[in-house]
Amino acid sequence: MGGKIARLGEVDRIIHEPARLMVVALLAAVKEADFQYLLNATELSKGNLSVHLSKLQEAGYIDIEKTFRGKYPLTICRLTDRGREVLAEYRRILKAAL
Amino acid sequence: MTNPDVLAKRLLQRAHTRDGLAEILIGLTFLMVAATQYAWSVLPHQGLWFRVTVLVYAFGFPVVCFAGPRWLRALRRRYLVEREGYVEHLPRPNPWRRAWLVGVAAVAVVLAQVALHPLPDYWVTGFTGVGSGALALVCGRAPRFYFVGAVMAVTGLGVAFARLPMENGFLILFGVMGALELTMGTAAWIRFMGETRRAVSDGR
Repeated sequence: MGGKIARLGEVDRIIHEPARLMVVALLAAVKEADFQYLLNATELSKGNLSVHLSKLQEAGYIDIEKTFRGKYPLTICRLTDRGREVLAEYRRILKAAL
Repeated sequence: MTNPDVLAKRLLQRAHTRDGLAEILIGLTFLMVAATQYAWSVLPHQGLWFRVTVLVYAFGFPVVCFAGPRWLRALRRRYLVEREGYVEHLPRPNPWRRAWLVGVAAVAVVLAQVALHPLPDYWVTGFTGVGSGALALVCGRAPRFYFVGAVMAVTGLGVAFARLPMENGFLILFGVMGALELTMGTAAWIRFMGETRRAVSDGR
């Protein structure tokens, strides 16, 4: 039991941050979502969300694609396989410890 | 420490209820039920209009319940994508699960009616109000849904304690629930439109 709790120290720091965890958890539950949807769902500010998305992209956890739907520009975000693996590991550590 | 699955569910729920459209649809549905109850109490039972209201109730209500979420999704994608944002949901892992749940819920309602049969009619209205209130609490998980749920439960109990006949009780209960849902949904919609105005003017 003590060992399992000690593993909490091994959780991925990038997705452990609350705002980024919201984004990653949300993207894991959908196929893809755009910036505005994430903004509405998380209620973060535009700048804040933008910074967190950049960090997640740098870590290789999400893909960001800029496209259009009709005349509207969309910034579509998707969780990568690496992002899913990291989230699954995070979930495993959490479940074992709690 | 937050469970990511629970967190995702709540965030999706928040995104779904933020614009108030779901409440507006539910409110209109409840008002349709209340209007039907009223029509049944005043129209002659052999008349054409009475039969029309029976058909509207029998077919309109299930159609709205099953197709409503799809209408909302289509409306958001077609006209509101710049405010709501774009999302593509994962395909349902087990599409029959929902049908099973609806079936189980229908059986539970029938069994509840059988169990309540020895009680006077007005308690059916009371339990409907309390049940609807509980459902609003569980589904909404936001302060405005707690308020709506509490009002539904209190209205149901009030109608039950007033010992109104079932037709009048349902008319009042569904009328209050519909008006309340419609009002709350419209308020949420107006706030949402104000909050997302910048997203439209700025572009993304």
